Amino acid sequence: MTGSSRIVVSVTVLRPEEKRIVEAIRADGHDVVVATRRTYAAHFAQSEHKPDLVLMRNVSRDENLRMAHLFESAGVATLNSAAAIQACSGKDMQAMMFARSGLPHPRTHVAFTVDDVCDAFEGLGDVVVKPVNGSWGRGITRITSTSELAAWQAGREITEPRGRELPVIVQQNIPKAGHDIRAVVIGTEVAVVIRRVAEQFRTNTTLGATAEAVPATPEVLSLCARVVDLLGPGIYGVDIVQCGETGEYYLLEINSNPEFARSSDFHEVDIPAMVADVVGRTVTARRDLIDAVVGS
Amino acid sequence: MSNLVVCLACDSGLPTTNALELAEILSCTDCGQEFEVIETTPLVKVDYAPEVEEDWGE
Repeated sequence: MTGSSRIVVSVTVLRPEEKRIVEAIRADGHDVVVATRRTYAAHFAQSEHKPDLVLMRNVSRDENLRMAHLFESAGVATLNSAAAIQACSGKDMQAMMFARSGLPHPRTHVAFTVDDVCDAFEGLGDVVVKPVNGSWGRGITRITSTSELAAWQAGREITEPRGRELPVIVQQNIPKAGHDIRAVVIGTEVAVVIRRVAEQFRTNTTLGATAEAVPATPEVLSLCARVVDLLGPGIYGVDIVQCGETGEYYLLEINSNPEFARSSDFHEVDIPAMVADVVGRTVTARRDLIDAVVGS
Repeated sequence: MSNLVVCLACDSGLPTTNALELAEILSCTDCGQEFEVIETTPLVKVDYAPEVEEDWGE
């Protein structure tokens, strides 16, 4: 409890996990209103009662980014910030950002044409092709041979002849030992680390991968700390893979809107309470900052 | 604020509670159609829930 504030939770639809967050923020004594596409305009119009903070939980990525920019443009802080959401919005941009920041990331090419994909495959060998804006594992394909590459090309010629879904990223496949790692960062802390296990290379729980909570290794904690340094405190799902051959850790992707409905039953970490706590502390920190500036 | 909310597809009664939130999704137990709560006061009103879009998801 950090003092009552007016919090807006911005959503596309209010799924059970967003409702749990709303309830947790209310339990901390804050006023909470839910904003959707149908109602968000009202929150900009009430200049005397601007929200202290908007928690961005739109399941639509485009909407999440647009709404965050709109709220920030109206002078209302958002969590995550629009800049952090933007940075997480495309796998291509993330690859560039990781390379620029020296974060360990599989070698990645951005392919704007099918020929680019072929060239990248020739250079990298075993690759994973991913839509730059895909989610829940959709459209991700591993290509290990020229015949698989030909099959991928043929499929696109039929379903996507004009190449409107390009670019894609072509990424060095990291041979993982049957699992990858999802670390959930809330504020600056690692709330929970989940190991996702699947028989296929895609380990999205939406595709049926099983998951279990595991202790955070120093390597995972270090990578998450670097993510927070890069993007600022926020709420992130940090996807990490450990190479089964070398033991090296690679940062695969940062999600700015991590879901927890499928995993919270087994790890028993109270994610909504932790989110509510960070919401309260963020509002308090912003008030302290304003008081310091105004009072100086 | 609770009132009888009728499924727009099959006219069955939708399962509601007194703690409904704006944008909450209700599923018709008879036909399975999903609805979004678009008003909670003075009466609960619903509309068809948005379909899952290509850019949905983490």
